[in-house]
Amino acid sequence: MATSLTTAAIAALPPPQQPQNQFNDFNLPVDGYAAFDALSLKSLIVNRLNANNIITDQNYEGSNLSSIIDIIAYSYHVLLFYLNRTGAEATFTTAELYDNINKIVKLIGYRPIGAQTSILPFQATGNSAIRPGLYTLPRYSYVSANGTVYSFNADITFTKRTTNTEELTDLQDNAVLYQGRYTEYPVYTAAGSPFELLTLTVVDSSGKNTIIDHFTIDVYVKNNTVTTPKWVKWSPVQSLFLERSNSTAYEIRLNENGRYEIKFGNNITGQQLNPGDQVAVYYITSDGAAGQIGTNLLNGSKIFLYSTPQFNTIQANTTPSNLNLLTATQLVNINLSNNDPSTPFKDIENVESIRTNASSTFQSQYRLVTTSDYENFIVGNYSNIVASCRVVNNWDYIQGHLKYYFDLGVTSPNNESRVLFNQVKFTDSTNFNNIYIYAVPKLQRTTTLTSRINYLNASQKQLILNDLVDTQLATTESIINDPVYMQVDLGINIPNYSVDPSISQYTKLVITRSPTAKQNANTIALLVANIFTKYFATTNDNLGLLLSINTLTNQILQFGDITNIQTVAQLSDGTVHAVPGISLVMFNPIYPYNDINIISQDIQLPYFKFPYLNNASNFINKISVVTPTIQSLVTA
Amino acid sequence: MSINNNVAIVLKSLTKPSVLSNGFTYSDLHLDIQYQYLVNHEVQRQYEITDILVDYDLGAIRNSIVNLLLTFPGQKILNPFFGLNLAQYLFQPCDEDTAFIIGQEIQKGITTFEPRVKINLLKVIAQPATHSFQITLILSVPTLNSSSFQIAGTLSNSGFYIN
Repeated sequence: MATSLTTAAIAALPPPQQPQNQFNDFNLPVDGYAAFDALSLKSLIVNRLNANNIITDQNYEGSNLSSIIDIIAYSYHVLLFYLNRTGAEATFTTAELYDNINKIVKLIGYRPIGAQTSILPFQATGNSAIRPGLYTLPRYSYVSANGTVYSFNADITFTKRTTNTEELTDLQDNAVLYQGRYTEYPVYTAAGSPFELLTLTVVDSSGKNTIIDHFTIDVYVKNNTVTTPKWVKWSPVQSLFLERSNSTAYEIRLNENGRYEIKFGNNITGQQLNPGDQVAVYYITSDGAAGQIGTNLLNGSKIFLYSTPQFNTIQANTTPSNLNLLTATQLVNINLSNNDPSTPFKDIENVESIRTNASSTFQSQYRLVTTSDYENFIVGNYSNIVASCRVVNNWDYIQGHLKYYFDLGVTSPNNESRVLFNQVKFTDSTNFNNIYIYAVPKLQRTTTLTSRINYLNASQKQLILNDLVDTQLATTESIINDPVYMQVDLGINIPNYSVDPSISQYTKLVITRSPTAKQNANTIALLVANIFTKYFATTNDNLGLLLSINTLTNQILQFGDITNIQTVAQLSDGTVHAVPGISLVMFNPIYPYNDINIISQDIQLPYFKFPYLNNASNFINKISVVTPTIQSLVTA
Repeated sequence: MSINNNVAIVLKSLTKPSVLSNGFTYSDLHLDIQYQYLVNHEVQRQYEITDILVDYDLGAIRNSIVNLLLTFPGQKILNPFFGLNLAQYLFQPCDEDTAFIIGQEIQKGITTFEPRVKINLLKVIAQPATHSFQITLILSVPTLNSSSFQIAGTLSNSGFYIN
């Protein structure tokens, strides 16, 4: 059926699409500019000059024209390189420079994490000179451990209960020491503009940024428009846009230059600074990795008060009058010691870490809802304390960890020492709203004995829990639980014998080395031992590990000089039993006869189990490298 | 097996180059870059036509030979093989043997990079008194009716200079 259109209808039709010319005047694809390199551009120029037939010597490498073409083509090549680099640096997935990824993630509200100074748990005792009572240790007080300074970041209130010398549990369980000394930034006088920005420029003599601890920056503001101006401590928030107009809050962000930017509100979202307001900033200047200390270095150290004229005023303005602040004279009577070493210093987040954490943080919107939100939060913010972390809800906890104890034959799993300890210390009697966080501290421990006490201490747990409160669901209660450490060693199944942890004493890993191997037997033994110690290092993210015998075997075979691997047990009665490949015995050292398994193939550990290698530093003694003679091979 | 005798072998270097509209066969930029007047009108400047100065035929070929002699391998950005490393022979004994090797090097370079010319004479004379070599090249261009030209230079401890 034929149709006809009116003139008006025809006029209303969209103009016909003109075929787009895909080539420019030079017979090149319009979007082909980025496809050139120096040689292809040189070829293009030469071809075009040949086509024009005006100049000829572009074809001869020695000509002046050829040199000019080389320079033009190479310049273009370099410009294209920068164009591509710039193009790549503009996107989230391809940016490789810190400055660029930092600016890109700002669009989604992510704040890169700066350096995290070493943290030191400590033990405190107060002698009889301190009378029983409630005391407060003033913020920014510090101790010196052989010249390395550690500071307290907040006022800590504790109770001295007796007239005798006693352990100050409130103090040691609720506080940790941060490496570095508090530093006073020069007072900033506000201009009074909306969203006023204060950038902390702290550089050393060579112009490099000084290391500032990310989580211990405090900001105080003195409103000079009132009749009796007083310093007030303002609070850091994730985003000013969620704040009320009178909220004394600020945003703090590590910018692309590695400097902290403190942003104040505009009286609509967050309180705006008045013209002439004074801003005081205190931060910890860290010594970086040089500030890490070992065990017992704090022993006998005394606490010193932090004091500057400005800080004394701020302290007087911001400390409640009912607090009984410790004086310098009283502090002499408090002794500190440390059974644990400090945590390792953590440098600023690198590009890859930002890329990973920004997307997961954006997903969670700085709220802790799912278990992976918790894991991302803890790994991101406490990576200097926590090596491995898994989070489960109450149901999974009962079905997994508690059931595990029940299956072991523990009739009251809640009374198991570590479970009981955490339950008593960190939770109430209502458990259905609990979130269980399994965390392994980032401490390198190599012997069997210490691995079993490798738990986050009470103050570290409290530190993390305090931080979770602001962002987790209102009805949720978090408990940091201790993992079940599983001892791993060499071991095999022997017919007619039940599996026993002592099998590891008789078992060796026998590696057969090729007679033509380039590496000697000792080197191979060392390399194999390294594979095991690295795989089971206590600083790995190994909670709920897929323990892969295949991976271990492949790593060993990669040396190329190995023809056979056997696990061999020579019992005290002289009998020898061997199995091909790697065979391990894994058991819970606290319940060694109830939870013990021989592992000769890949196995997935449950979320609460963390494997460690028994006596890792001497594991090399369990590796025997044999080399068959050529004659024996010929005979075989 | 039969051989097809009708297949011709084409050697690019032997093909007769086309002649440009201005009657020349070869043209190259003149360096340093200068203007030349195609139409020079002293009174009425608006009629003047200027263009970049160009070297033609023997001048263009001479550019190539001089560049070849003055360039070290690696200096040309997109062709690191181009050039002659004559300076390396300054640390050799200043004698006939070295002069012979220098001559061979020049001959090889010209054959490789400048197929337009034929070497009529290549003379390298060692001058032990000044520890230098006097180089004389007489070249002819078959495609330009065997027009010939001469290049003479000195290789001394301060480099190679065209006389």
